[in-house]
Amino acid sequence: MMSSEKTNLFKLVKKQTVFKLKAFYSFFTVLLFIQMIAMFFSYFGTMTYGSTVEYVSIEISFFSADAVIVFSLLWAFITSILLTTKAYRYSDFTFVTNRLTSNFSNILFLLFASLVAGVTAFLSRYLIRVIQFYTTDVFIVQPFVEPASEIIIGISATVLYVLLFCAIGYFSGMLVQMHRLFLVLLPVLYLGVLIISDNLSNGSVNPVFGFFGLESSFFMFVVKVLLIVVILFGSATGLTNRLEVR
Amino acid sequence: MTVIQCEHLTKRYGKFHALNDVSLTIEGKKITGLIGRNGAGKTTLLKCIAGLYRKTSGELKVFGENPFNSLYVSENCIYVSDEMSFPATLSLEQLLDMASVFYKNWDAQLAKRLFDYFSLNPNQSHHRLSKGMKSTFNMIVGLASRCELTLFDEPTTGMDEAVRQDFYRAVLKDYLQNPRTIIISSHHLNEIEHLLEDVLVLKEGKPLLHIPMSELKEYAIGIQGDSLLVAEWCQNREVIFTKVIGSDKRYAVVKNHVTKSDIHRAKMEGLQVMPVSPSDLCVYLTNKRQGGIDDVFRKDELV
Repeated sequence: MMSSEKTNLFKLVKKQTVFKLKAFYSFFTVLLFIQMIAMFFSYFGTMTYGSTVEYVSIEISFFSADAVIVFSLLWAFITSILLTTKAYRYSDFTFVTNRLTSNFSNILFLLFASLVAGVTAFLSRYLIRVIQFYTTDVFIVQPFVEPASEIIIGISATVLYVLLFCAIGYFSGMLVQMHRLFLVLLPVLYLGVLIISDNLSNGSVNPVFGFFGLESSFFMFVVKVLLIVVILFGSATGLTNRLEVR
Repeated sequence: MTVIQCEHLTKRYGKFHALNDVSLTIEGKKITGLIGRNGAGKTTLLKCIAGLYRKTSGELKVFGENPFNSLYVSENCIYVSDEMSFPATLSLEQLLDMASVFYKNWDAQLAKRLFDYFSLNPNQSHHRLSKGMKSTFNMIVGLASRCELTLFDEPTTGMDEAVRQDFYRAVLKDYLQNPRTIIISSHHLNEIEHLLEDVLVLKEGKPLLHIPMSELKEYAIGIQGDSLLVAEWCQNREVIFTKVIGSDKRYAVVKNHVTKSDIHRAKMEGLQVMPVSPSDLCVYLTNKRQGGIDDVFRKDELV
């Protein structure tokens, strides 16, 4: 044989990931744009309570980065679906690849994307406070400096949520790539699960959201999210290992 | 050395057999032409070889491995077609850089020279190129990657005459400098005739012929003259194609099992004997019926 050494799988995955970070940088431009829109919404769309007692009027405004986080989750979901579409999948096959390395490098790319989106989304809460501080005459109650442990937990949780949405998007996208029927089936399935679980919850928190959101131990939360993420990415990789390039 | 080996290779889409029981061997360091009509299975065969398609049944070995999901095959084989997909965000120059990262034999100098010769714009995006320019760029990637197995699937789509001629010349020059296994599928056999060592003719998912180009040139002869005489001459011979010329003349292509004395006799009877160009021969061979398109327009004789 002309070149006796076998291709190193990990070296190739590394090459592909670098390639994807270069080629798909526009996703991050979109993220920046989306987060700016979300901050715009949170700036104007704050919840405000007011009350007036004699000559004193009190107005309490709630600012949060929730909108930024929600938009980032949406971005993660759509980005990972886009990665599974033909235009993105096939460019791997123009160069050197097999289905396994292609999936691995996609997952690594999404890990990196979750890190970027999660960290920026979480930090945007400080940016919102700073902007509020300089542009309005509100008195910021919450301190600018929070304990490091809280910041670390906050950032990790946001990153994990973004990663979870990446995994859901990637898995869904790959199912649709396998058969067009899933394009109809999946929304029905997802909505169905949400509606049924909502009915079963008798007015309390929907168990699907509660599974992550109500977890009091941070460690258990990490384990739960990572478990689901591994299952979703794993199934997507396993199922598409026989997918053809048309 | 054997590069590609198929045994009873079958590829089905639903009930349609795109490749039907294909058995063939392609030896290394040769340029093979893959010829066939639309839908004969050329692209399917090439995509199976490149590991893009999964075979339905049979055996397919490329460099001794099943190409589907083989990193070794992917690294040593490039499939060039107008469907090649490149990320829209990268410029042509960046794409060439990317290709050099993935293909270990990448010839950056050749890529650069071809790129300049065909005056492509390094800052342009692949998606904005015209059809012919796309094909030109893909061809550059195909040649510069210098893969041990290079598959060109109708590489000249959209190229103008001058670029096509340049392309054929480039393939030949580069092949002579770096001999490797090249398969070119094309509709223009007359244009690539001089490049090819072997010809593989596909018809309805099956190999019809797989012979050296030199043999194909002598595979058949054409006879033309008086209808009755031609018909008589064709008896007991393998007729590949026949058509009526004018009112009482006929042209027939027969398999070349003809001796010199036969030809001499034919000439004495006033028949014209002529060689058949490989390109025409392939058209005749891959026709569904002997008469060709003329039959469609001749209602009276069919009734």
